[in-house]
Amino acid sequence: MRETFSGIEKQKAHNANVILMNADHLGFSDHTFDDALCGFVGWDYCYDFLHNEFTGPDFRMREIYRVLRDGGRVGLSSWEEQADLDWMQDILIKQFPSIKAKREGEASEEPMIYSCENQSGLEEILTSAGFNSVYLIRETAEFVSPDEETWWRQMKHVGWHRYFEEIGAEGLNRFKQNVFSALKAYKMDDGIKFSKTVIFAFGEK
Amino acid sequence: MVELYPAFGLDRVLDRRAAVGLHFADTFPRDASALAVSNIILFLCLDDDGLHFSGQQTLWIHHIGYLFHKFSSNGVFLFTGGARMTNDWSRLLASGPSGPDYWEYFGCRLVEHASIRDGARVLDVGCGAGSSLFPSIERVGRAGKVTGIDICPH
Repeated sequence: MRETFSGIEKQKAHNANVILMNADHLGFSDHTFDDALCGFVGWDYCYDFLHNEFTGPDFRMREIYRVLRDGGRVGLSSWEEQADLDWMQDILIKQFPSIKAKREGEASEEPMIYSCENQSGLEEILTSAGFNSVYLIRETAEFVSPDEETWWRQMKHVGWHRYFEEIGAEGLNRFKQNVFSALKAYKMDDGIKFSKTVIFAFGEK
Repeated sequence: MVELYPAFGLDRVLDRRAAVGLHFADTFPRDASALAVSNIILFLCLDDDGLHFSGQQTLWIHHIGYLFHKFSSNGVFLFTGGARMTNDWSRLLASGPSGPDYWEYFGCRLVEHASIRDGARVLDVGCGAGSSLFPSIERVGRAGKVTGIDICPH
């Protein structure tokens, strides 16, 4: 064991490691970090962005605050809008109303595909955890996929597969055809173009 | 590269076979050690040649995920390795088939906006595929340190 560890330590070329850990209970001492980043994690587990109010205690942001040194900064990013996902969700619900009905039946508060958040909510989350000098930056960018199949493959990586399972193989084929035909409206000379808007939020301990 | 967390109780490490015998013997990397410590799984990648994340290695990561869920729903899982492994991983994530490039784009933007200083100690919460982690590593330089955490091993 000892040899093994010293073997790894010799390779100290890059100062990085990755740990599997629940962010609600960070295994680090207080004041360990200068900066904390939190990209697209989603705060809907404790915050309702529709009514802008907490639905439960925010362990995660408290933990981030705890492990930052005084004067340390947190930066997070969050989706305000993903045009492609919203668009695809509309098509899915139109073609398979049962999916929506089922969700309503279960009174599911989980977002269908992604947690859509807003500036005032993120501001409240940061200030409630104790952060000062909170500021926000909003950015929109356009993304191009070269063709329909590439676009489809990319979409499959963002959480759609659970609905795909629900609608079955045949349903999926029909859905894909519908989507591809509707996609023509978004096809530009250089490919299929959609925009995404992100909010970056920062605070200081 | 490697941080040892004394709280992990490494003196109570179980026999490696306990983990290997589970399900992933076939895809278990030759030079790696998996150590199950009560409800904590510690996984060390020690392959000097780096891990080449072929289809097989990707599969292997899925198996780790399985292992984690199986053993360690409340535990801590440490996944780390040598410099070259980090490089390979970085390459896979930067250009791999696993997702569209907007993650990478906005991950970089987050790091740029965050004005992180040289030598900073950075925690990346929910580092996922590393879209903010890898730009952070560049940003802090050799004197800095970036620790990424995620609850999902994929």
